[in-house]
Amino acid sequence: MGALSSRAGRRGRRKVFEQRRPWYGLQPSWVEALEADARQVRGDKLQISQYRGRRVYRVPIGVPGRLQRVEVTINFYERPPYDCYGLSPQEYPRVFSCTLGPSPHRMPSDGALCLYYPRSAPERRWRPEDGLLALIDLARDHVFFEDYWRDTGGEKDGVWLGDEQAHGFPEQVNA
Amino acid sequence: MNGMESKETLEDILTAGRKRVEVTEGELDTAKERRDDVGAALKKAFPGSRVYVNGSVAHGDALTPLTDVDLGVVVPDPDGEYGPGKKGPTSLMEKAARVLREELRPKYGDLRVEHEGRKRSILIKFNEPVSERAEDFTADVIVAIDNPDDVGLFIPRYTGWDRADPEAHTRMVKKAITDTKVSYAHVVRLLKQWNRAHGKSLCSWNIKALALACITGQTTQLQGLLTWFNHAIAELEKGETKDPAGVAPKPIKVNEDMTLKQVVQVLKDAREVLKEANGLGQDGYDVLAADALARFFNDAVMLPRQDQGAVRRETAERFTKRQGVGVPAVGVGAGAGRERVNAASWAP
Repeated sequence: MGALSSRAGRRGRRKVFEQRRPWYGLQPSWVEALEADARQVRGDKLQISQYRGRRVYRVPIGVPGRLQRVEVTINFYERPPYDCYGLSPQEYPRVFSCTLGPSPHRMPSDGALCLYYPRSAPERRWRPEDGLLALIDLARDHVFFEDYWRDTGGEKDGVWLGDEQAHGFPEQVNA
Repeated sequence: MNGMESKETLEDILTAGRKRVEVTEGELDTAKERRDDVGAALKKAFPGSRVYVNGSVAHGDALTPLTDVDLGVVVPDPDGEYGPGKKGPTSLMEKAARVLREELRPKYGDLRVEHEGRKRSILIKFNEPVSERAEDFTADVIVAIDNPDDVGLFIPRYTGWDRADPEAHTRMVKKAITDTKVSYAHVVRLLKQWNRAHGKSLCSWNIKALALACITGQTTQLQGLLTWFNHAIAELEKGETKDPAGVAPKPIKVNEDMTLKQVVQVLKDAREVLKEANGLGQDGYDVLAADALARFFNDAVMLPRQDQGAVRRETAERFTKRQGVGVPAVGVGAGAGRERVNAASWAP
Protein backbone atom coordinates (compact mmCIF):
# COMPACT_ATOMS: atom_id res chain seq x y z
CA MET A 1 0.00 0.00 0.00
CA GLY A 2 2.76 2.34 1.00
CA ALA A 3 4.69 1.52 -2.18
CA LEU A 4 1.60 2.18 -4.29
CA SER A 5 1.05 5.56 -2.61
CA SER A 6 4.63 6.46 -3.21
CA ARG A 7 4.40 5.59 -6.94
CA ALA A 8 1.14 7.55 -7.25
CA GLY A 9 2.82 10.48 -5.56
CA ARG A 10 5.73 10.40 -8.04
CA ARG A 11 3.28 10.26 -10.95
CA GLY A 12 1.44 13.23 -9.45
CA ARG A 13 4.67 15.21 -9.07
CA ARG A 14 5.67 14.41 -12.66
CA LYS A 15 2.28 15.65 -13.82
CA VAL A 16 2.76 18.88 -11.89
CA PHE A 17 6.24 19.26 -13.38
CA GLU A 18 4.98 18.71 -16.94
CA GLN A 19 2.24 21.29 -16.55
CA ARG A 20 4.50 23.99 -15.10
CA ARG A 21 4.20 27.26 -17.04
CA PRO A 22 7.26 28.37 -18.97
CA TRP A 23 9.19 31.24 -17.46
CA TYR A 24 7.77 34.70 -18.17
CA GLY A 25 10.14 35.40 -21.08
CA LEU A 26 8.58 32.49 -22.96
CA GLN A 27 4.97 33.40 -22.25
CA PRO A 28 3.49 35.03 -25.38
CA SER A 29 0.96 37.09 -23.43
CA TRP A 30 3.65 38.57 -21.17
CA VAL A 31 6.07 39.22 -24.02
CA GLU A 32 3.46 40.75 -26.34
CA ALA A 33 2.22 43.15 -23.68
CA LEU A 34 5.77 44.15 -22.82
CA GLU A 35 6.86 44.76 -26.40
CA ALA A 36 3.75 46.28 -27.99
CA ASP A 37 4.62 49.98 -27.69
CA ALA A 38 8.31 49.45 -28.45
CA ARG A 39 7.51 47.48 -31.59
CA GLN A 40 5.17 50.21 -32.77
CA VAL A 41 7.64 53.03 -32.19
CA ARG A 42 11.00 51.35 -32.77
CA GLY A 43 9.91 49.05 -35.60
CA ASP A 44 12.52 46.67 -36.89
CA LYS A 45 15.30 48.55 -35.08
CA LEU A 46 14.34 46.56 -32.01
CA GLN A 47 16.38 43.36 -32.06
CA ILE A 48 15.21 40.47 -29.93
CA SER A 49 17.25 37.43 -28.93
CA GLN A 50 15.97 34.51 -26.94
CA TYR A 51 18.45 32.36 -25.03
CA ARG A 52 17.91 29.64 -22.45
CA GLY A 53 16.49 31.50 -19.47
CA ARG A 54 17.22 34.96 -20.93
CA ARG A 55 15.44 37.31 -23.30
CA VAL A 56 17.50 40.18 -24.67
CA TYR A 57 16.48 43.40 -26.42
CA ARG A 58 18.95 45.57 -28.28
CA VAL A 59 17.98 48.93 -29.69
CA PRO A 60 19.97 51.90 -30.97
CA ILE A 61 18.75 55.15 -29.45
CA GLY A 62 19.47 58.78 -30.17
CA VAL A 63 20.76 60.63 -27.13
CA PRO A 64 20.83 64.44 -27.30
CA GLY A 65 24.43 65.60 -27.47
CA ARG A 66 25.74 62.40 -29.08
CA LEU A 67 26.50 62.32 -32.81
CA GLN A 68 26.23 58.54 -32.97
CA ARG A 69 23.37 56.41 -31.77
CA VAL A 70 23.88 54.53 -28.53
CA GLU A 71 22.98 50.87 -28.25
CA VAL A 72 20.92 49.92 -25.24
CA THR A 73 20.77 46.26 -24.20
CA ILE A 74 18.02 45.04 -21.90
CA ASN A 75 18.27 41.58 -20.35
CA PHE A 76 15.36 39.75 -18.75
CA TYR A 77 16.39 36.62 -16.86
CA GLU A 78 14.48 33.65 -15.63
CA ARG A 79 16.95 33.43 -12.76
CA PRO A 80 18.96 36.65 -12.65
CA PRO A 81 22.66 36.23 -11.81
CA TYR A 82 22.41 39.45 -9.76
CA ASP A 83 20.52 40.64 -6.70
CA CYS A 84 16.98 41.87 -7.44
CA TYR A 85 16.67 43.36 -3.95
CA GLY A 86 13.34 41.72 -3.31
CA LEU A 87 11.76 42.48 -6.67
CA SER A 88 10.72 39.77 -9.09
CA PRO A 89 13.12 39.13 -12.01
CA GLN A 90 10.69 40.64 -14.50
CA GLU A 91 10.56 43.86 -12.48
CA TYR A 92 14.33 44.18 -12.35
CA PRO A 93 15.95 43.60 -15.76
CA ARG A 94 19.58 44.44 -16.40
CA VAL A 95 20.01 47.45 -18.71
CA PHE A 96 23.33 48.36 -20.31
CA SER A 97 24.67 51.06 -22.59
CA CYS A 98 28.13 52.30 -23.36
CA THR A 99 29.38 55.17 -21.26
CA LEU A 100 31.81 57.94 -22.06
CA GLY A 101 33.17 58.14 -18.51
CA PRO A 102 32.30 57.81 -14.85
CA SER A 103 28.70 57.87 -13.64
CA PRO A 104 27.18 58.11 -10.18
CA HIS A 105 24.37 55.76 -11.09
CA ARG A 106 25.79 52.53 -12.44
CA MET A 107 26.02 49.12 -10.81
CA PRO A 108 29.54 48.76 -9.41
CA SER A 109 29.59 45.05 -10.28
CA ASP A 110 28.89 45.16 -14.01
CA GLY A 111 28.22 48.77 -15.08
CA ALA A 112 24.47 48.28 -15.60
CA LEU A 113 22.34 51.43 -15.43
CA CYS A 114 20.79 52.06 -11.99
CA LEU A 115 17.53 53.35 -13.34
CA TYR A 116 15.42 53.16 -10.20
CA TYR A 117 15.49 52.34 -6.54
CA PRO A 118 14.11 48.83 -6.06
CA ARG A 119 12.37 49.71 -2.79
CA SER A 120 10.52 52.67 -4.29
CA ALA A 121 6.75 52.63 -4.34
CA PRO A 122 5.55 50.78 -7.46
CA GLU A 123 4.64 54.01 -9.27
CA ARG A 124 8.18 55.30 -8.81
CA ARG A 125 9.93 52.40 -10.47
CA TRP A 126 9.61 50.71 -13.82
CA ARG A 127 7.24 47.75 -13.96
CA PRO A 128 6.56 45.36 -16.85
CA GLU A 129 3.10 46.84 -17.34
CA ASP A 130 4.79 50.18 -18.20
CA GLY A 131 6.17 48.45 -21.28
CA LEU A 132 9.57 48.11 -22.89
CA LEU A 133 9.35 51.53 -24.55
CA ALA A 134 9.12 53.22 -21.16
CA LEU A 135 12.26 51.34 -20.09
CA ILE A 136 14.08 52.44 -23.24
CA ASP A 137 13.00 56.04 -22.56
CA LEU A 138 14.34 55.78 -19.01
CA ALA A 139 17.65 54.48 -20.37
CA ARG A 140 17.88 57.37 -22.88
CA ASP A 141 17.25 59.93 -20.15
CA HIS A 142 19.76 58.22 -17.89
CA VAL A 143 22.53 58.26 -20.50
CA PHE A 144 21.83 61.93 -21.18
CA PHE A 145 21.88 62.73 -17.47
CA GLU A 146 25.27 61.02 -17.22
CA ASP A 147 26.68 63.07 -20.10
CA TYR A 148 25.35 66.30 -18.64
CA TRP A 149 26.63 65.38 -15.18
CA ARG A 150 30.13 64.97 -16.61
CA ASP A 151 29.79 68.22 -18.62
CA THR A 152 28.93 70.13 -15.46
CA GLY A 153 31.78 68.85 -13.34
CA GLY A 154 31.17 65.14 -12.78
CA GLU A 155 32.44 63.99 -9.39
CA LYS A 156 33.06 67.65 -8.55
CA ASP A 157 29.62 69.28 -8.36
CA GLY A 158 28.23 67.69 -11.51
CA VAL A 159 24.51 68.31 -11.97
CA TRP A 160 22.23 65.26 -12.22
CA LEU A 161 19.09 66.51 -13.90
CA GLY A 162 16.77 63.70 -12.85
CA ASP A 163 15.56 62.57 -9.47
CA GLU A 164 18.13 60.75 -7.35
CA GLN A 165 17.84 58.32 -4.49
CA ALA A 166 20.61 58.14 -1.89
CA HIS A 167 22.95 55.28 -2.64
CA GLY A 168 22.59 52.00 -0.78
CA PHE A 169 19.78 51.10 1.62
CA PRO A 170 18.85 52.91 4.82
CA GLU A 171 19.99 50.00 6.99
CA GLN A 172 23.41 50.04 5.32
CA VAL A 173 23.72 53.77 5.84
CA ASN A 174 22.60 53.50 9.47
CA ALA A 175 24.81 50.51 10.25
CA MET B 1 15.93 81.04 -24.25
CA ASN B 2 18.56 79.12 -26.08
CA GLY B 3 21.71 81.18 -26.08
CA MET B 4 21.90 81.39 -29.87
CA GLU B 5 22.61 84.84 -31.22
CA SER B 6 21.49 84.09 -34.75
CA LYS B 7 17.76 83.92 -35.40
CA GLU B 8 18.10 81.67 -38.40
CA THR B 9 14.77 79.91 -38.87
CA LEU B 10 14.34 76.31 -39.93
CA GLU B 11 13.16 77.62 -43.28
CA ASP B 12 16.42 79.56 -43.66
CA ILE B 13 18.39 76.42 -42.77
CA LEU B 14 16.44 74.34 -45.28
CA THR B 15 16.99 76.91 -48.01
CA ALA B 16 20.73 77.05 -47.32
CA GLY B 17 20.96 73.26 -47.25
CA ARG B 18 18.98 72.91 -50.44
CA LYS B 19 21.25 75.33 -52.24
CA ARG B 20 24.26 73.28 -51.15
CA VAL B 21 22.90 70.14 -52.80
CA GLU B 22 21.25 71.53 -55.90
CA VAL B 23 22.84 71.02 -59.28
CA THR B 24 25.32 73.73 -60.27
CA GLU B 25 24.94 75.93 -63.33
CA GLY B 26 28.08 74.39 -64.79
CA GLU B 27 26.81 70.84 -64.38
CA LEU B 28 23.45 71.80 -65.83
CA ASP B 29 24.91 73.58 -68.85
CA THR B 30 27.16 70.63 -69.69
CA ALA B 31 24.36 68.13 -69.16
CA LYS B 32 21.97 70.05 -71.36
CA GLU B 33 24.57 70.37 -74.10
CA ARG B 34 25.06 66.60 -74.07
CA ARG B 35 21.32 66.02 -73.96
CA ASP B 36 20.84 68.30 -76.97
CA ASP B 37 23.56 66.45 -78.87
CA VAL B 38 21.90 63.12 -78.10
CA GLY B 39 18.53 64.52 -79.16
CA ALA B 40 19.95 65.80 -82.45
CA ALA B 41 21.48 62.39 -83.19
CA LEU B 42 18.16 60.69 -82.48
CA LYS B 43 16.33 63.03 -84.84
CA LYS B 44 18.90 62.21 -87.46
CA ALA B 45 18.37 58.50 -86.89
CA PHE B 46 14.60 58.84 -87.13
CA PRO B 47 13.52 61.68 -89.44
CA GLY B 48 10.13 63.04 -88.45
CA SER B 49 10.51 61.88 -84.87
CA ARG B 50 10.01 64.06 -81.78
CA VAL B 51 12.35 64.14 -78.82
CA TYR B 52 11.08 64.58 -75.29
CA VAL B 53 12.94 65.19 -72.05
CA ASN B 54 12.18 63.99 -68.55
CA GLY B 55 13.97 63.09 -65.33
CA SER B 56 15.52 65.46 -62.85
CA VAL B 57 17.09 67.90 -65.30
CA ALA B 58 13.82 68.35 -67.19
CA HIS B 59 11.83 68.55 -63.96
CA GLY B 60 14.08 71.14 -62.33
CA ASP B 61 14.98 69.08 -59.26
CA ALA B 62 18.45 67.74 -60.05
CA LEU B 63 21.01 67.34 -57.28
CA THR B 64 24.74 67.71 -57.35
CA PRO B 65 26.76 65.77 -58.33
CA LEU B 66 24.72 65.37 -61.49
CA THR B 67 25.23 61.89 -62.90
CA ASP B 68 22.64 61.43 -65.60
CA VAL B 69 20.09 62.89 -67.95
CA ASP B 70 16.92 61.35 -69.37
CA LEU B 71 15.32 61.77 -72.75
CA GLY B 72 13.41 59.82 -75.33
CA VAL B 73 12.58 59.76 -78.99
CA VAL B 74 9.11 59.00 -80.34
CA VAL B 75 9.67 57.24 -83.65
CA PRO B 76 7.05 57.67 -86.39
CA ASP B 77 5.34 54.43 -87.26
CA PRO B 78 3.01 55.38 -90.13
CA ASP B 79 2.43 51.79 -91.24
CA GLY B 80 1.78 50.50 -87.73
CA GLU B 81 4.62 47.98 -87.87
CA TYR B 82 5.53 48.26 -84.21
CA GLY B 83 3.66 47.75 -80.98
CA PRO B 84 2.23 45.01 -78.78
CA GLY B 85 1.58 41.89 -80.87
CA LYS B 86 3.66 43.30 -83.73
CA LYS B 87 7.35 44.10 -84.06
CA GLY B 88 9.28 44.66 -80.85
CA PRO B 89 11.62 47.60 -80.16
CA THR B 90 14.91 45.76 -80.74
CA SER B 91 15.59 46.89 -84.32
CA LEU B 92 14.73 50.49 -83.45
CA MET B 93 17.06 50.40 -80.44
CA GLU B 94 19.85 48.88 -82.53
CA LYS B 95 19.47 51.64 -85.11
CA ALA B 96 19.36 54.34 -82.46
CA ALA B 97 22.47 52.93 -80.76
CA ARG B 98 24.39 52.76 -84.04
CA VAL B 99 23.57 56.32 -85.04
CA LEU B 100 24.29 57.61 -81.52
CA ARG B 101 27.79 56.07 -81.72
CA GLU B 102 28.42 57.52 -85.17
CA GLU B 103 27.17 60.98 -84.35
CA LEU B 104 28.55 61.41 -80.85
CA ARG B 105 32.01 59.83 -81.10
CA PRO B 106 33.55 62.65 -83.14
CA LYS B 107 32.76 65.04 -80.28
CA TYR B 108 32.84 62.78 -77.24
CA GLY B 109 35.45 60.22 -78.26
CA ASP B 110 35.52 57.29 -75.90
CA LEU B 111 31.82 57.01 -75.09
CA ARG B 112 29.96 53.71 -74.83
CA VAL B 113 26.43 53.03 -76.03
CA GLU B 114 24.76 49.96 -74.50
CA HIS B 115 21.38 48.50 -75.32
CA GLU B 116 21.60 44.71 -75.38
CA GLY B 117 19.81 43.01 -72.52
CA ARG B 118 18.58 46.28 -71.08
CA LYS B 119 14.97 46.50 -69.92
CA ARG B 120 13.96 49.87 -71.29
CA SER B 121 16.64 52.32 -72.27
CA ILE B 122 19.79 52.75 -74.28
CA LEU B 123 22.56 53.77 -71.89
CA ILE B 124 25.18 56.23 -73.07
CA LYS B 125 28.28 56.34 -70.90
CA PHE B 126 30.18 59.51 -71.72
CA ASN B 127 33.28 58.42 -69.80
CA GLU B 128 33.58 62.01 -68.72
CA PRO B 129 31.72 63.29 -65.63
CA VAL B 130 30.11 66.72 -65.53
CA SER B 131 31.08 67.04 -61.86
CA GLU B 132 34.39 66.40 -60.13
CA ARG B 133 32.51 64.41 -57.49
CA ALA B 134 30.92 61.97 -59.95
CA GLU B 135 32.56 58.98 -61.63
CA ASP B 136 30.83 59.40 -64.96
CA PHE B 137 27.87 60.95 -66.69
CA THR B 138 25.26 58.89 -68.50
CA ALA B 139 22.21 59.46 -70.64
CA ASP B 140 19.19 57.15 -70.51
CA VAL B 141 17.50 57.12 -73.90
CA ILE B 142 14.05 55.65 -74.49
CA VAL B 143 13.04 54.70 -78.02
CA ALA B 144 9.26 54.92 -78.02
CA ILE B 145 6.34 54.89 -80.42
CA ASP B 146 2.99 56.60 -80.11
CA ASN B 147 0.07 54.54 -78.90
CA PRO B 148 -2.28 54.86 -81.89
CA ASP B 149 -5.37 53.84 -79.89
CA ASP B 150 -4.97 55.69 -76.61
CA VAL B 151 -3.05 58.38 -74.77
CA GLY B 152 0.64 58.02 -74.13
CA LEU B 153 3.39 55.94 -75.65
CA PHE B 154 4.62 52.43 -75.96
CA ILE B 155 8.10 52.18 -74.46
CA PRO B 156 10.40 49.13 -74.58
CA ARG B 157 10.26 46.37 -72.05
CA TYR B 158 13.07 44.05 -73.19
CA THR B 159 11.77 42.71 -76.53
CA GLY B 160 8.19 43.86 -75.95
CA TRP B 161 6.34 47.06 -75.13
CA ASP B 162 4.80 48.73 -72.07
CA ARG B 163 2.40 51.63 -71.88
CA ALA B 164 3.71 54.84 -70.32
CA ASP B 165 3.36 58.58 -70.70
CA PRO B 166 6.68 60.27 -69.84
CA GLU B 167 5.70 63.39 -71.77
CA ALA B 168 2.61 63.79 -69.58
CA HIS B 169 4.79 63.29 -66.49
CA THR B 170 7.00 66.22 -67.45
CA ARG B 171 3.95 68.36 -68.24
CA MET B 172 2.41 67.52 -64.84
CA VAL B 173 5.61 68.31 -62.96
CA LYS B 174 6.09 71.61 -64.76
CA LYS B 175 2.49 72.57 -64.06
CA ALA B 176 2.94 71.71 -60.38
CA ILE B 177 6.04 73.90 -60.21
CA THR B 178 4.09 76.79 -61.72
CA ASP B 179 0.96 76.22 -59.63
CA THR B 180 2.95 76.09 -56.38
CA LYS B 181 5.25 78.98 -57.25
CA VAL B 182 8.24 76.59 -57.19
CA SER B 183 7.37 75.07 -53.78
CA TYR B 184 6.90 71.70 -55.46
CA ALA B 185 10.44 71.70 -56.89
CA HIS B 186 11.95 72.86 -53.58
CA VAL B 187 10.20 70.18 -51.55
CA VAL B 188 10.98 67.46 -54.09
CA ARG B 189 14.66 68.39 -54.16
CA LEU B 190 14.83 68.19 -50.36
CA LEU B 191 13.02 64.84 -50.40
CA LYS B 192 15.37 63.45 -53.03
CA GLN B 193 18.32 64.51 -50.92
CA TRP B 194 16.77 62.86 -47.84
CA ASN B 195 16.06 59.72 -49.88
CA ARG B 196 19.64 59.62 -51.17
CA ALA B 197 20.98 59.56 -47.61
CA HIS B 198 18.49 56.93 -46.42
CA GLY B 199 18.97 53.95 -48.70
CA LYS B 200 16.85 55.18 -51.60
CA SER B 201 13.73 53.39 -50.47
CA LEU B 202 11.80 55.19 -53.22
CA CYS B 203 12.81 56.11 -56.75
CA SER B 204 12.76 59.82 -57.63
CA TRP B 205 9.68 59.42 -59.76
CA ASN B 206 7.79 57.86 -56.86
CA ILE B 207 8.66 60.86 -54.69
CA LYS B 208 7.46 63.22 -57.39
CA ALA B 209 4.30 61.23 -58.15
CA LEU B 210 3.32 61.34 -54.47
CA ALA B 211 4.14 65.05 -54.34
CA LEU B 212 1.89 65.77 -57.32
CA ALA B 213 -1.09 64.73 -55.20
CA CYS B 214 -0.21 66.69 -52.04
CA ILE B 215 2.03 69.67 -52.87
CA THR B 216 -0.61 71.55 -54.77
CA GLY B 217 -0.18 75.10 -53.53
CA GLN B 218 2.53 77.43 -52.32
CA THR B 219 3.98 76.19 -49.04
CA THR B 220 6.99 76.54 -46.81
CA GLN B 221 9.59 73.84 -47.31
CA LEU B 222 9.11 72.45 -43.79
CA GLN B 223 5.34 72.32 -44.09
CA GLY B 224 5.70 70.83 -47.56
CA LEU B 225 7.94 68.08 -46.23
CA LEU B 226 5.52 67.28 -43.41
CA THR B 227 2.61 67.27 -45.85
CA TRP B 228 4.48 64.93 -48.16
CA PHE B 229 5.41 62.47 -45.40
CA ASN B 230 1.85 62.37 -44.09
CA HIS B 231 0.49 61.76 -47.59
CA ALA B 232 3.19 59.28 -48.63
CA ILE B 233 2.79 57.18 -45.46
CA ALA B 234 -1.00 57.08 -45.83
CA GLU B 235 -0.79 56.17 -49.52
CA LEU B 236 2.01 53.59 -49.27
CA GLU B 237 0.19 51.90 -46.41
CA LYS B 238 -2.57 51.27 -48.94
CA GLY B 239 -0.20 50.08 -51.67
CA GLU B 240 2.30 51.10 -54.32
CA THR B 241 1.83 54.42 -56.09
CA LYS B 242 -0.20 54.41 -59.28
CA ASP B 243 1.00 56.28 -62.37
CA PRO B 244 -0.31 59.84 -61.89
CA ALA B 245 -0.84 60.05 -65.66
CA GLY B 246 -3.14 57.03 -65.41
CA VAL B 247 -1.42 55.26 -68.28
CA ALA B 248 1.15 52.75 -66.97
CA PRO B 249 -0.71 49.58 -66.02
CA LYS B 250 1.61 48.77 -63.13
CA PRO B 251 2.28 50.91 -60.06
CA ILE B 252 5.69 52.43 -59.30
CA LYS B 253 7.94 49.90 -57.59
CA VAL B 254 9.68 50.67 -54.31
CA ASN B 255 13.30 49.64 -53.68
CA GLU B 256 13.47 45.98 -54.65
CA ASP B 257 15.49 45.12 -51.54
CA MET B 258 12.74 46.38 -49.24
CA THR B 259 9.16 45.45 -48.49
CA LEU B 260 6.49 48.12 -48.69
CA LYS B 261 6.10 47.81 -44.92
CA GLN B 262 9.80 48.53 -44.42
CA VAL B 263 9.60 51.56 -46.69
CA VAL B 264 6.64 52.89 -44.69
CA GLN B 265 8.62 52.40 -41.48
CA VAL B 266 11.57 54.36 -42.91
CA LEU B 267 9.17 57.17 -43.76
CA LYS B 268 7.53 57.06 -40.35
CA ASP B 269 10.88 57.25 -38.59
CA ALA B 270 11.87 60.22 -40.72
CA ARG B 271 8.56 61.97 -40.10
CA GLU B 272 9.07 61.68 -36.35
CA VAL B 273 12.42 63.46 -36.57
CA LEU B 274 10.92 66.12 -38.81
CA LYS B 275 8.02 66.67 -36.42
CA GLU B 276 10.52 66.86 -33.57
CA ALA B 277 12.48 69.56 -35.43
CA ASN B 278 9.29 71.47 -36.17
CA GLY B 279 8.10 71.34 -32.56
CA LEU B 280 11.47 72.38 -31.18
CA GLY B 281 11.62 75.27 -33.63
CA GLN B 282 8.16 76.43 -32.62
CA ASP B 283 9.19 76.32 -28.96
CA GLY B 284 12.27 78.43 -29.67
CA TYR B 285 14.92 75.75 -29.13
CA ASP B 286 16.91 76.74 -32.17
CA VAL B 287 19.97 74.57 -31.58
CA LEU B 288 17.89 71.44 -30.94
CA ALA B 289 15.65 72.17 -33.92
CA ALA B 290 18.61 72.66 -36.26
CA ASP B 291 20.27 69.52 -34.93
CA ALA B 292 17.08 67.50 -35.44
CA LEU B 293 16.89 68.78 -39.00
CA ALA B 294 20.51 67.75 -39.57
CA ARG B 295 19.68 64.29 -38.18
CA PHE B 296 16.73 64.13 -40.54
CA PHE B 297 18.89 64.75 -43.62
CA ASN B 298 21.87 62.73 -42.35
CA ASP B 299 24.29 64.52 -44.67
CA ALA B 300 27.06 66.62 -43.15
CA VAL B 301 27.70 68.40 -46.45
CA MET B 302 24.13 69.57 -46.73
CA LEU B 303 23.44 70.27 -43.05
CA PRO B 304 26.19 69.72 -40.48
CA ARG B 305 25.20 68.68 -36.97
CA GLN B 306 25.20 71.37 -34.29
CA ASP B 307 27.85 71.62 -31.59
CA GLN B 308 26.88 68.75 -29.30
CA GLY B 309 27.84 70.59 -26.13
CA ALA B 310 25.32 73.28 -27.11
CA VAL B 311 22.78 70.54 -27.81
CA ARG B 312 23.28 69.14 -24.29
CA ARG B 313 22.96 72.57 -22.71
CA GLU B 314 19.75 73.39 -24.55
CA THR B 315 18.34 69.91 -23.85
CA ALA B 316 19.04 70.43 -20.14
CA GLU B 317 17.39 73.86 -20.28
CA ARG B 318 14.32 72.42 -21.95
CA PHE B 319 14.16 69.48 -19.56
CA THR B 320 14.41 71.72 -16.52
CA LYS B 321 11.74 74.11 -17.78
CA ARG B 322 9.33 71.31 -18.58
CA GLN B 323 9.86 69.79 -15.15
CA GLY B 324 8.38 72.86 -13.57
CA VAL B 325 5.07 72.96 -15.42
CA GLY B 326 3.22 70.16 -13.71
CA VAL B 327 4.18 67.35 -16.07
CA PRO B 328 4.44 64.18 -13.96
CA ALA B 329 7.78 63.14 -15.40
CA VAL B 330 9.53 64.37 -18.51
CA GLY B 331 12.34 63.09 -20.68
CA VAL B 332 14.84 64.08 -23.31
CA GLY B 333 15.46 63.39 -26.98
CA ALA B 334 13.14 61.43 -29.24
CA GLY B 335 9.90 60.72 -27.45
CA ALA B 336 10.58 63.45 -24.89
CA GLY B 337 6.87 64.13 -24.94
CA ARG B 338 6.00 60.63 -23.75
CA GLU B 339 5.20 60.47 -20.08
CA ARG B 340 8.07 58.97 -18.13
CA VAL B 341 8.14 56.59 -15.20
CA ASN B 342 8.79 58.94 -12.32
CA ALA B 343 11.86 57.06 -11.15
CA ALA B 344 14.86 58.17 -9.14
CA SER B 345 18.31 57.02 -10.23
CA TRP B 346 20.12 55.03 -7.63
CA ALA B 347 23.11 52.80 -6.94
CA PRO B 348 23.55 50.08 -4.33
